[in-house]
Amino acid sequence: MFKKQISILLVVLLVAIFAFTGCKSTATTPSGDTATPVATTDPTVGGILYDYSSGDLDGFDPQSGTSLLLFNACRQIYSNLVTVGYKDFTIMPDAAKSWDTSKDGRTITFHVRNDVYFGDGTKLTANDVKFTFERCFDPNGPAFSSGVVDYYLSPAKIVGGQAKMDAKASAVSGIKVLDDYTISFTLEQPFAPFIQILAIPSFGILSEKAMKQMGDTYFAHPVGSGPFYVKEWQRGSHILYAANLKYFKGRPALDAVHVDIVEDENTQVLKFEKGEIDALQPPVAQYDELVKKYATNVYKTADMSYYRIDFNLKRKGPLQDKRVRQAICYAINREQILDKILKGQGYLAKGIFPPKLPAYTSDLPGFSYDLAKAKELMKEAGYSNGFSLEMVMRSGKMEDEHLAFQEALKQIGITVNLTKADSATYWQLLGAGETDIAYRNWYADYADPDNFVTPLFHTGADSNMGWAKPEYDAIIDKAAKMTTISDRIPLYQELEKKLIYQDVVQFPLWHSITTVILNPKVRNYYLHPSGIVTYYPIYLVR
Amino acid sequence: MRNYIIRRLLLLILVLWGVTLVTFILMHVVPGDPAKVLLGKLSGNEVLVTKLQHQLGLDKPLVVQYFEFVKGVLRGDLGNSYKFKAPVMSLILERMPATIKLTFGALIIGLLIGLSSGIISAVRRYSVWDTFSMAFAFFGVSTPVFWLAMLLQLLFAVRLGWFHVSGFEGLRDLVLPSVTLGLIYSASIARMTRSSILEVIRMDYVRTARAKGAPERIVIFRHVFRNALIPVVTLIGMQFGGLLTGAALTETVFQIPGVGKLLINSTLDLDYPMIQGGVIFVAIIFVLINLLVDILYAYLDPTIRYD
Repeated sequence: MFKKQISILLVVLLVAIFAFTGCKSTATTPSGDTATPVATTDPTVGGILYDYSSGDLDGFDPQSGTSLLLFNACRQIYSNLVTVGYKDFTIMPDAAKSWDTSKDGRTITFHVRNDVYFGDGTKLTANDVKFTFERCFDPNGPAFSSGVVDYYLSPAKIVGGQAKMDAKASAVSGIKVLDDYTISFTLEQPFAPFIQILAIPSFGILSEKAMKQMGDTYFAHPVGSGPFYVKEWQRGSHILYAANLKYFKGRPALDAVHVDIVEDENTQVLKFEKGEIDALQPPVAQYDELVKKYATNVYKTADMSYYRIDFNLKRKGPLQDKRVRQAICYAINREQILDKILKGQGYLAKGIFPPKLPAYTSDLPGFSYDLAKAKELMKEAGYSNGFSLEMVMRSGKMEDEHLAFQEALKQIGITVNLTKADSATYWQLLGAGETDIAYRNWYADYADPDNFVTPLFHTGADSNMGWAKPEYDAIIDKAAKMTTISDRIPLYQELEKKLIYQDVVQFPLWHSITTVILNPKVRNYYLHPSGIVTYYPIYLVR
Repeated sequence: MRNYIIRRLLLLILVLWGVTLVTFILMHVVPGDPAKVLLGKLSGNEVLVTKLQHQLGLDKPLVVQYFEFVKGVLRGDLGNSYKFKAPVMSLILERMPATIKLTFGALIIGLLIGLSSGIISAVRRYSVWDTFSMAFAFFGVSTPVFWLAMLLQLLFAVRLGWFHVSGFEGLRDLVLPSVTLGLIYSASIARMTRSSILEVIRMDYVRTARAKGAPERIVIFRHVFRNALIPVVTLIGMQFGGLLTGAALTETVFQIPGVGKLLINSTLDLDYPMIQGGVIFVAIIFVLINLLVDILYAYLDPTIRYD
């Protein structure tokens, strides 16, 4: 009798939990993402979120790098002129309340809010914005060597930017402060993704006054105007972000976020199991076990990423023959690698652009695994006896996938000589083009097809292993100048077909998925396709 | 003795000069360009590489680079880390407290377990205690430190909940990493203590002490143990130096912001100033510890005289 009562009570409790909290649901959205638990009532104020970072920072200088670690930190502590949504790339106002674009599309004027304050109590003005961007073009500043100029600002071509970088001018003539709260940017030509670029954490607004007072120490004790400030940073140990109670959009729900720097994956798992951290990206080695154990708290999001195999077309040899490159594409069983090695954390790529990007199309032929076809192509190319290829890989990074490629290509007679190198040597070999093929990835910084084609395929781009075709450059440049996305999409889609199926410059493998396991008390933890997690909307239920 | 210490300290200068020269040569012989490492994905852009090399002073002739470095060292300036853009000296000093705490924690545990089990197994040779402590030592010597660390985390942090899994924010967080390292180090101390005591215990002066009717406790601790300590002290000195200059794996697993991880990462990042500064630091630690060990020899064995 007593047992029966207990059972009924348990059933009622379970039903009540599911009915009222809804927190265990893993609703699948059309994009394939699973929605994380969101606020159903007013967020509860207070509490500390315990998160982790798999690496340490060098400091909090937003212009000093383009790593996800730095982006994550800067998103919490700085404001930008504009920002993006928590879970997508929708452009939203941030320190700028609005902006206008001139008729010719070259000048964008931002109207800055007059209620944004830095941590030191000073008001954020248009002069701070100008100071921040002027610093980007400083030839001795960090932005030129970190990729910030190369990836983001160079394509935008702000008038006078190059002159300052060449030390021919002391200021960027295209950036003008019109009054304390108005600033304009003039570009040499219209550049469609410009506003999106300004939302990248690299362009977090710095306090001119604090920087001049603090010098180099600014970036160890950053003065920002974001939702959190760095209360404590012990290198190699942890970062403690405390809520900025005077944040112009209202104080964050959380009192603080404690980010432990935990490099070891096993320690990350143990810390989650013990409850010392509230969110975990399960390591591949323990993925199945953890996902099964915490099944109701597992959430996924499709990243804005592109994994591919690069062919080094600068090198003489069999890869110059398109049929050999095609054979490689048909010989690798991507589905198997995705399933067995990456535990299904990705979806097969037919082209360059991931599904969340405007230019995405599924109307592409794709390379399905076909060993017979691969062998036939090798025979046609006159390589039925095979040959050897050099492939460089970073030790500890995606090693299993490299071994799988090596094994797959053996089937069509290609011997892949894998060179395992530390990061320093890896980048050196890659930069010098001393590899025949390379397994690499690209994560979007902004949701525009230009962010894929310019850095990966434009002549002189750093990630294209020497690929150059002036007529394709012309298409890339033309599309970037057009301001209506619907006009640009056909150009990008045409280009994608040519690059992948006509020229076989790269072999598209997959677009990744990020998995996170959350502590059930966490609400509004949004997985952004860029990998950045914004702590501002998060709150904890008690 | 005083003259000896002064002489050894003067020798330190020579050692440091030799160490910096060898490190400098090795750094430039090893393939890899720090500018390219810093540029990462952009390392294929030769314009940027050249610009950064110039900014870091890497385009100067090697001899000039070396003498600039030596000049800085003589002024007490080890330069700025390429990666952290902060003075090398302050980066090392910032990490020292954690390393010192871990070193002493591990050493205390290592000495307590190692010396006691070494003495017991030597004195009770072939007994159950001997078998047990030598089996323990055998496992200790052959156990990978990260594996032991994980087992301890799983048992004492996750299952029993007594400690944090990792972190370094209080003395409680020192227990598991100290036990991990202490257990590993105790194994070699125990083996060394046992064999050293067994060697001394057969000496004529021990037999004489026993023949004179001295109690066994006095024989062991006054006549045997003290004389058997010399090789053990050498071993402990080396371990002490090793711990002070970093236990990178333990630091990584337990998330301790120590010197070891800093130095290992600097090597991987080709952070030349940090590597050079780190090597100087390691050299100073080892020379000083060797000096300390030599002084201890004289204290333990009055027949040893340096003057």
